[in-house]
Amino acid sequence: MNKSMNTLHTTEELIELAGLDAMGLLDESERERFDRSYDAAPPHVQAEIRRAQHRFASDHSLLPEVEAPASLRSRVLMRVREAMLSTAGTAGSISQAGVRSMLPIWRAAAIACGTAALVLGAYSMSVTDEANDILAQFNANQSQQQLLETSPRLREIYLSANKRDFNFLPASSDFQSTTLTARLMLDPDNGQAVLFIGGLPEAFGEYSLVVQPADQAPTRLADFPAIDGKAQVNLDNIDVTTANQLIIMGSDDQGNDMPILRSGDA
Amino acid sequence: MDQTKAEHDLGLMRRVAADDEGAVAELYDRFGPLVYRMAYQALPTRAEAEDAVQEVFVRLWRTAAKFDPKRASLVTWVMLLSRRHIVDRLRRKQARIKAGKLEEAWSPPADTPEMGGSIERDERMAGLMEKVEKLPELQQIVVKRAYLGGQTLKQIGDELGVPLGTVKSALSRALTRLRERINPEEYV
Repeated sequence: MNKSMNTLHTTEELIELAGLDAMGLLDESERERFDRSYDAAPPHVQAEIRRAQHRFASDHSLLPEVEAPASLRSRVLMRVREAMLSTAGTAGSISQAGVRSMLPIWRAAAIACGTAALVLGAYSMSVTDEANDILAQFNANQSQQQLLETSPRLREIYLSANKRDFNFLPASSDFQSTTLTARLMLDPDNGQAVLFIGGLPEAFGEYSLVVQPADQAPTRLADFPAIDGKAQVNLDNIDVTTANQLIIMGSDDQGNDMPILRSGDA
Repeated sequence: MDQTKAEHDLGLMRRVAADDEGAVAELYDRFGPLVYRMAYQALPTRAEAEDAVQEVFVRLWRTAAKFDPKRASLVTWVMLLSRRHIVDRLRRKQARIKAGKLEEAWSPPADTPEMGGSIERDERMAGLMEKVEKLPELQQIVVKRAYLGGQTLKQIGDELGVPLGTVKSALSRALTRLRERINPEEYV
């Protein structure tokens, strides 16, 4: 981070940047600087910035006049439901930790998925022995079959004829550990992937996944928490090239990011 | 912002964070059309726009517990998360194309909107582009590259040989001017 990034914005600069922040146009380092400057600003300046951002966000005149397809609503709700199910199925430890409890509707959905999984089970069990090892490491309390039952996405990837696996290696000697492990399973035909991580160091409060092609700035793909050092992340629009350029980052209380694991072909 | 509305929005996001499907549906009904318009403007195809909307709502669900009405109104929060997601997606796409060594298929965002250039997209951008063309030259370039092309402000500054502060000011002024031209009555 260069020196100018450590200084706070003046009130005039803050107000000038308020619209850019509201429209997601600031770079990541700029966002952090903007947020720090906002936090340090007096209440009346903060109020002015909030009003300016609200005006920008409420004015949709730069956007095209187009209606979303009617079917999109159900697809969005289905996608969110799948993500909820996936999180609920990540590990018993999540429920035990009280982060998210599985609502009755999700239990019912999980049972429905389980019924479907019974049909697929015989096939998936025969083709996924190697992945089973990883999943066993990922969660000793939950079988591969249970994971498949609660994650339709994972089941689809398992059954993909072209499924690819990617391993991760420690990004530095600081993270050499027998328990630290990660594996990405990708269906290259549709770009859907699931990343399992276990043994994440507890020194970090939050984690993120970035893609960093050679000689280019990293791009953040996802932010995610970890429960008992474990996390499951669903990803879209991933291709083989991207999957080989992933870095799992940890973020400490001061917001400092540090690479923990880097990807490579299994 | 109206206190009652802020309380309602906070309650809504808490229900979303608690996996309340009805709350997710309410969130979509309020903001789905807006998110779609943003995605449709920035991404090259309808299919990509629709996929991006689905991802945005998953992201809204994942981050719902972080929503703080004292920091931003709900529409600001949704706009911010959506735009960031769409811009990240544009940048990923550019990175993938570059990483795949398809230089012949990729050229740095120039004076026309990047990412697609289909006739359909050109038509849908025509109204906005007409107004963009009336801006001073630097403002035109930064709007096209940052707002429509997803380039970072630093990239734009580096490629144009212009200080970062100048890029930010130009973009801020350009967006304000565009809004003035589209909604002149608000600025009388």
